[in-house]
Amino acid sequence: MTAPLIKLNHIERSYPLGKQQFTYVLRDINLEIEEGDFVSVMGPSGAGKSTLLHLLGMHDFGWTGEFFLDETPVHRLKPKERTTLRNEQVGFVFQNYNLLDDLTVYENLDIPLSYRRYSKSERTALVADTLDRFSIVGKKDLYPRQLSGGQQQLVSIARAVIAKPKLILADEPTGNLHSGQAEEIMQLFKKLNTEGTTIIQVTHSETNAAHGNRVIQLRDGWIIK
Amino acid sequence: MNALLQDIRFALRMLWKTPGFAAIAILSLALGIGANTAVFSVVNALLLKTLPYHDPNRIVLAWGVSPSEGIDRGQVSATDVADWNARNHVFAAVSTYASFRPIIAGNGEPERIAGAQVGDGFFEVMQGKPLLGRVFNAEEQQEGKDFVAVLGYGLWQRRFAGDPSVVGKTLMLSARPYTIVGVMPADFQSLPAGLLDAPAEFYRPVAEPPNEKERASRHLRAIARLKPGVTLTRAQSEMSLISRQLEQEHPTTNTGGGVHLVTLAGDLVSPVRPALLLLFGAVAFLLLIACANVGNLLLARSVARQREVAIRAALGAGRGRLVRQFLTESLLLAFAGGMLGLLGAVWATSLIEAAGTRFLPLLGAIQLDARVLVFTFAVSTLTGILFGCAPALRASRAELNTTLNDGGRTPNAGSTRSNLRSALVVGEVALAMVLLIAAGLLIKSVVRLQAVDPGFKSAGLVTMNVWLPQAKYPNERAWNNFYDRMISRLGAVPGIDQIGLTSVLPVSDNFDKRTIEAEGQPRRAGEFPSVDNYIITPDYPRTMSIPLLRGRSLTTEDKAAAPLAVLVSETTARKFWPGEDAVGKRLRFYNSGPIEQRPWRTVVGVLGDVKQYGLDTPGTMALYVPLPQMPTSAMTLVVHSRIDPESMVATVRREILALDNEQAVFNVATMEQWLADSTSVRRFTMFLLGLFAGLAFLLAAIGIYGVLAQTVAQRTHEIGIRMALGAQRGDVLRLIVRQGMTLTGMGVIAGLFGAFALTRFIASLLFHVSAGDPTTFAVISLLLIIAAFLACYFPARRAARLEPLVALTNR
Ligand SMILES: Nc1ncnc2c1ncn2[C@@H]1O[C@H](COP(=O)(O)OP(=O)(O)O)[C@@H](O)[C@H]1O
Ligand SMILES: [Mg+2]
Repeated sequence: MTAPLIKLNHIERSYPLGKQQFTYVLRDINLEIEEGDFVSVMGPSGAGKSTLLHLLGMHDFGWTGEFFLDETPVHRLKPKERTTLRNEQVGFVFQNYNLLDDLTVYENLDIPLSYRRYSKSERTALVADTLDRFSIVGKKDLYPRQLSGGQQQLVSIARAVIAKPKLILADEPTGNLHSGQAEEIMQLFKKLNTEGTTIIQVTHSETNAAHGNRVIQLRDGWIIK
Repeated sequence: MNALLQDIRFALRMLWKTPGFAAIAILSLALGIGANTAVFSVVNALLLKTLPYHDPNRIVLAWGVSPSEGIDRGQVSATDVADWNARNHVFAAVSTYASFRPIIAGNGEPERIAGAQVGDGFFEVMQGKPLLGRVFNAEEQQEGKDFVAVLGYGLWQRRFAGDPSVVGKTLMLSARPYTIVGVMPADFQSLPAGLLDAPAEFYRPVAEPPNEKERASRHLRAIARLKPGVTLTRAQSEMSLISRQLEQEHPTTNTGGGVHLVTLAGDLVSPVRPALLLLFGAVAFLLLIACANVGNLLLARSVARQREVAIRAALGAGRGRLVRQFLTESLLLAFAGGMLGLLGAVWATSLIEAAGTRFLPLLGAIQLDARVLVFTFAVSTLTGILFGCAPALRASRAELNTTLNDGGRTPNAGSTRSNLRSALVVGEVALAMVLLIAAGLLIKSVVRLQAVDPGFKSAGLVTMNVWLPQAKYPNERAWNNFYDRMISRLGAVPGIDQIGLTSVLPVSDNFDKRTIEAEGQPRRAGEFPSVDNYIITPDYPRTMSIPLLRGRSLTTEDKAAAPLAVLVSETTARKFWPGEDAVGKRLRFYNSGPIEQRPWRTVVGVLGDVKQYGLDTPGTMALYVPLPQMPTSAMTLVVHSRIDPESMVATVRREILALDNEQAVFNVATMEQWLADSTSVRRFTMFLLGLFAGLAFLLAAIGIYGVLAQTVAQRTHEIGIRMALGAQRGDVLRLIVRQGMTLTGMGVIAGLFGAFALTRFIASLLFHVSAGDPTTFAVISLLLIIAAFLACYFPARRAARLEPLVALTNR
């Protein structure tokens, strides 16, 4: 059997509350996710879902425990190595899209490439490719505020996959969208998943979760299922 | 009124809530306003305030000019002035004056005091009425009847304890009795140093009646009072006419000579006017930079206050009301800055005064008078409106809906605001750049100037004037005798290794110009070859380390009865005998007595050139005559010692008093001090401009830092997104630094253009540096860029150190 893409052992995350006091947000998380999985993380607000996702996306280093990504021990990496690993492996999709207001669609797509080792011509080709693949060529010169929410999330997902990550992390990607738009996004994820990308999404919707092959339930920082 | 009070109360509370902001803003403004107030009070004292004389704008100085000799502020003869007096229709009175520095004895220690010899009509020109007794009458302007004195109020108080019956008493000046005929009141001001050696404490008559033989004896200075309604131009054209008449009537003495009239005020401030205007420009720039800085801080703060403004607007505050609220705050800041600046200015002007009185004789009059206070108040108000305007208008325009609905976040208003802030930073950098370049050019000038070889070596030299009073030392024998004994006595003092005497000391403001002719080179009409004449002892050139280039130096064998010998300067040798050896050639003075009594003098050696008139002037034609062959009783002693010259002063003074216990030496100074004094206006301007430029530099750096720090705060979320999308720390660092450096680059370019356009105006203050000096421009650009980089680096590093999660969740 091949090693899982993600392996978490005894992960804990706490925030200081005040003097000598801590609040635990994640407690003794043990988890394995195989390459090619489409996982939905569910649970009530405040359960620690976003915290878990940011941890997996290596946006946060304030945890304890062991975290292997593609057999690399993340807990032993220096910050710079973690960034490099993240750049190679992970794409992130936010609930509020987080497109940069002052950049066009084209320029937003180009950001991840500009931070990786791509030549100018590769970047042009990749952006053109991606615009095509997501059918947003016509929107390339528009600014985010000129797009609908669904379109913005589409761009945001395009931006997350443009650098060809193995893993996509999406924190409530459809939280701000109506059900029609949400369905489109889920179809897109499904398609990316069948093409081989591992997907972990946070969602409150059973319908959305149904597109995946696995559900993880969080309650007060504990995995209960 | 009530509303205004309420505004003020609220403004105070807002400032109190952010003490760090208030402190930085007030300090920046205090710097800007303080520097302006200090420079303005100097400008006020020198350029704006009327001089402390009666109706001073009508007092004019009449300088002798001779373009062919390069004389533009020359002296005049009593005989010429008598003709002016008889022929002119423009002056209410015209008179003469000259420094007179006798030793006063009796009623206390002997001391060398400063006085003036004044011609007939001097007190009419000055409109001085005596407090006691009278001023001189015409009769006392005749030789033999001139031993009368008018006391200044200060001397009367100091040496006569204000004795009301002093008129008619006798005063001993250089061992001669003078009858005191009058006392001037306390508000009668002497002519300042610069026109006299030092402000006069008493007066005596010139006593030189017109005499055709003395027409060329130009050793007096002329001063006149214009008739009411007569303009300077009209007076000048009449005096030019009279000069031309005199030229025709007396071609041997007056050819090529003329008169240049200048108002007293114009004459006194003209040497410093360019420097003052430069400094005034500099502080104006500094204030603009301070305004930009504070404006920027306020703009940054107004972001945080959008919600407050929106709520106020929603509650019905009109736009005017909102603007007023913001302006109240900025005016409050400006006035606080103004008060603090005024305190700083009081302190700064006392420094300027202390440093500057030597070359700015009128500086004693610096005061923080009503005009200065009004200026400070006006500047503060303007400043407050200037930097308060942008934030006030911006805040009042904030869109209600977006602001309220968005929990204080305004997605699109941000970019225009930051455009304005960026523009302010670019402007700041450009202004600082111009100031720094001007300061750099001035510094380079002073460095170049100080590298100039004056023609002598100043190290180890102490100088002092030793003038022998006529009554005690009546003849040449007595003078030579005293000077010989003084030299041998000083020679025995341990530490002293060279002793020289000279009638004129280089770079000392003193000079002795004489017209000469060389044998076989008849003078062409209108040409007055003039030389600087030095009467010296044989050891003087060695004491000063003036190199002997050819021939021999003077020796003790060059006695009165020996063949007449002179040394000439290199320039003299080159001018008169180009390509030939000057040694052995002969020359004579042109204007001393009948032609048959003007003996030829043989050049025995050539000395290196000396910068008589300052380091920034060329070497002059000079002549060195041995003391016994041209005896004089007013010499300057130059002593070279191996030990610290300052510590030598007391010893020398003691040794001279041991020879003559009434001999008061004066003008005691090291040669280094004379040299330093000769460049003091330049160094002083450089110092002040350097200081202002340094402050501007600091403020600009703070400005860049402030904007970027604010940017980092505003862009934190964006930085988080970029990190989530793969940005490394280096990428983030570059992102922020690039923003700061783009602004800096634009500022530097604008500043370079500004400097190119403006530095031409200070060309007259520069020395051996062109106004567009590429090195200075390059070095200053680099300096600013490095400083800006540091100012960018720290906020950028803070941004780069953000944890992506923290940045992402920052809203
Ligand atoms: N920076 C922080 N400091 C303190 N507590 C935090 C911080 N970030 C998140 N939390 C807490 O951690 C818990 C889990 O948050 P989160 O992972 O965002 O929940 P979810 O996404 O499941 O709604 C919440 O109770 C939240 O208040
Ligand atoms: Mg969440």
